[in-house]
Amino acid sequence: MQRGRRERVTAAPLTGPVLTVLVLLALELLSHWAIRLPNPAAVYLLAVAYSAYAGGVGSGLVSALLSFAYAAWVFSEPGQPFRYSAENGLRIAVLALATPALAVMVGFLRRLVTGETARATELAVRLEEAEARQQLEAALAMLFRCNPQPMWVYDLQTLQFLEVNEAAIQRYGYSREEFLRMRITDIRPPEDVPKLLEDVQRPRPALQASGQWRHRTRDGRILHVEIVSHTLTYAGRPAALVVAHDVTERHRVELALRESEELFRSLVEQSLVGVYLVQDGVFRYANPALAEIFGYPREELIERRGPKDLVHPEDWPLVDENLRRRLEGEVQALRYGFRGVRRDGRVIHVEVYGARTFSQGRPAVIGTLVDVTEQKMAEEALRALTRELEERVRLRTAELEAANRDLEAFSYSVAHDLRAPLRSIDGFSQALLEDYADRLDEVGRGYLQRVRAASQRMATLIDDLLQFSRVTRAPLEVQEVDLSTLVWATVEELRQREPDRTVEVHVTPGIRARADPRLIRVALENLLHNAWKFTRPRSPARIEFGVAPTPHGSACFVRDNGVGFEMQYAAKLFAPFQRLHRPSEFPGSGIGLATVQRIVARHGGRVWAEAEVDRGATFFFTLPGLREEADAGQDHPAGGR
Amino acid sequence: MRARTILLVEDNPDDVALTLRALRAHHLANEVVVAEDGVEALEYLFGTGKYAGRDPRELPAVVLLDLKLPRLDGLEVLQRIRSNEHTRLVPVVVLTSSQEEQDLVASYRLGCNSYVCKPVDFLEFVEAVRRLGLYWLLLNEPPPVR
Repeated sequence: MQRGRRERVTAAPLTGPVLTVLVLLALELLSHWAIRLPNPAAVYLLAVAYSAYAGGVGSGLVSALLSFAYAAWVFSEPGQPFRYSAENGLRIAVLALATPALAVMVGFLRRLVTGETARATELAVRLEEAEARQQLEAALAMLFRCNPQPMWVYDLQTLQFLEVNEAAIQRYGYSREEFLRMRITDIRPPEDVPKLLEDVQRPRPALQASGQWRHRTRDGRILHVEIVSHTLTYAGRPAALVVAHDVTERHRVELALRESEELFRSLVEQSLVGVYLVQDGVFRYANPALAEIFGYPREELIERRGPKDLVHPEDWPLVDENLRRRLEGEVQALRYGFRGVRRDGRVIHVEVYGARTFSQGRPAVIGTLVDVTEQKMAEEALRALTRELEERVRLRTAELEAANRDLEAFSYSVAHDLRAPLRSIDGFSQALLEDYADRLDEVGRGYLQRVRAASQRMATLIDDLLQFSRVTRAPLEVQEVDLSTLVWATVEELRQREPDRTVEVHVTPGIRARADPRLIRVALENLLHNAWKFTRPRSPARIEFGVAPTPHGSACFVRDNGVGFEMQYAAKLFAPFQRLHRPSEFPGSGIGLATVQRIVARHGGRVWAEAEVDRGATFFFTLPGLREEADAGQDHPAGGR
Repeated sequence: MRARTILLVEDNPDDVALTLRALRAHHLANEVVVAEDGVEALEYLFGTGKYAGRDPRELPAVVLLDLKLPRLDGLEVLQRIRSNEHTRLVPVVVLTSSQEEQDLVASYRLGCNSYVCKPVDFLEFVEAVRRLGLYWLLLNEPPPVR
């Protein structure tokens, strides 16, 4: 606008006077026919004056020149020769002097007038400009103050804050006044200050992105900010305008992401199982374990080899098909086993669990793989061993069954055939005694008595042996048994057999156990027969049956006040045919306690004895489910007799 | 009064002698037929073989049967006796050395009337035979002959 106005003023000096003079000329020529001007030349003074006023002194002079030229022509009337006269000469001289003088005068006048106007205009423009600048500055200041990004200006030399905006005040928690009292080092964690000072001292471009920094708020929180700054002169001081972009949240997310990534990476990299990612028939990823399982360096696998290189050719169709099904989304995940081939050619058994996934936007299979070769081999070995064991058990069972059959036949034969000759020996000895008594003297008869006694002892021995073998062979039929009742039954039998003996018997009632009733009866009979036998010299003889706590748990006992035995022989007691007494003192086969031991052992119990010579003996035995039932009934009616 | 015959099935001549001695001691031995094995026992009962021509309707008052016998053992003899309509009801006493339970059970299952174990002690044996003779020959009422 201003520029346009100035141009118009400068165009005036030439065009103005020429046009003015031409217009006057035209008017004068026109008026020549209409009216007769008394002094036509004077008219031109008007033109000169106007030109000088409008275009300045220059314009006035040009106009004066033109006017003079015309006036000179006018004075010589057209078609009339110029006549020199004093009057004309004076007129010309006056005109020649007056017009330029007028031009100069009006020109000065104009300069006087227009100079004032220009000054006034200049002042107005300047005022206008100042106002606009003020408005702009206010707007700019507002842009700084109200900028949503924290911003500040600091002195490049003193590092003092020179100005801060609202956002900085809010974000950092310091008031403007506090800010202006601080240096930029004051909003850093102390450990970051050296780095900052170093950074500030480096030569810098006007506009600089300084990257990420840590700032500290008034309440001690750490902000992660990205800093851009621009140098400027502020209040006459070299300074920098700083914009701090808060990236704390982004930083936190990045950190979490990095940690998570680090966690999973180390998990996968240190995993004992193989981990792989397959796409386009090659391993996009393989962890060290996978490489080790197949004996390849890892670099040789990744991007260079695929599953086909590691799978046994016979199993490849299966693996290929399974990969296809997952890549095409037919199934999400699969778990199966196949044979692999190591780099050294060795065949291994592996199991994989692979799932469909995406890698760089395309389907892929990610999974884990375990080498199960050793398990497979162990399983196979175990199966073979089991088969062998079963076969051996079968053979052994057959052998045992055969042996058992033989033993049974043997026992049967003993029962029948060993007894018959004894009966003959005994029977015919008796026949001799009866029929030929008169032909034998006392000694002869005594011999025959001995023959009979021996045959009868042998018969007892055979019976005991048969019983001993029977308790071993007979199947165990376990049920709830009342031992006290069994004891009484045996005692009654013994009393009937020897009614003359006085034996005090005490039986604790209600002693029960889980046992085979026939076998446990044999055991009790043997123990009670012994007690009965070895108390023969005692009067009164005492036999007691009960339950007592022992180091081996609750145990039954049969106690007598008989002749007892020396404890050093206690271990021999339960071996077959071991006897601690001479047959002449106490007859017996030496099998009874062996039988007891077998029976108790077959029930899972144990038997032992305590004794003292001439002070009696106590035989203990344990049985499963042994207990005493208080309400099992009263003492046997014969008790305490 | 019918003949009081006893059929003694026993292969051991000693046992035969002792049994006869025991029976004789109590005057029960007037009519004792001894068969030395199972086959002979059946021939006697059915009137065949060695005993061809004997009237099989003449049944003994009691059969004393040992179990362990040559050719045909006691249990088989018992089974034949019980499965034949003619001899089905004849009293059979098993007289044996065996105390094995399996023999006892098998004998009773096949229908013996009594089971006696021969004691080794001769005096006991004599007593046992005496009681047997008295019971089966004198006390027991035999089944009617058909």
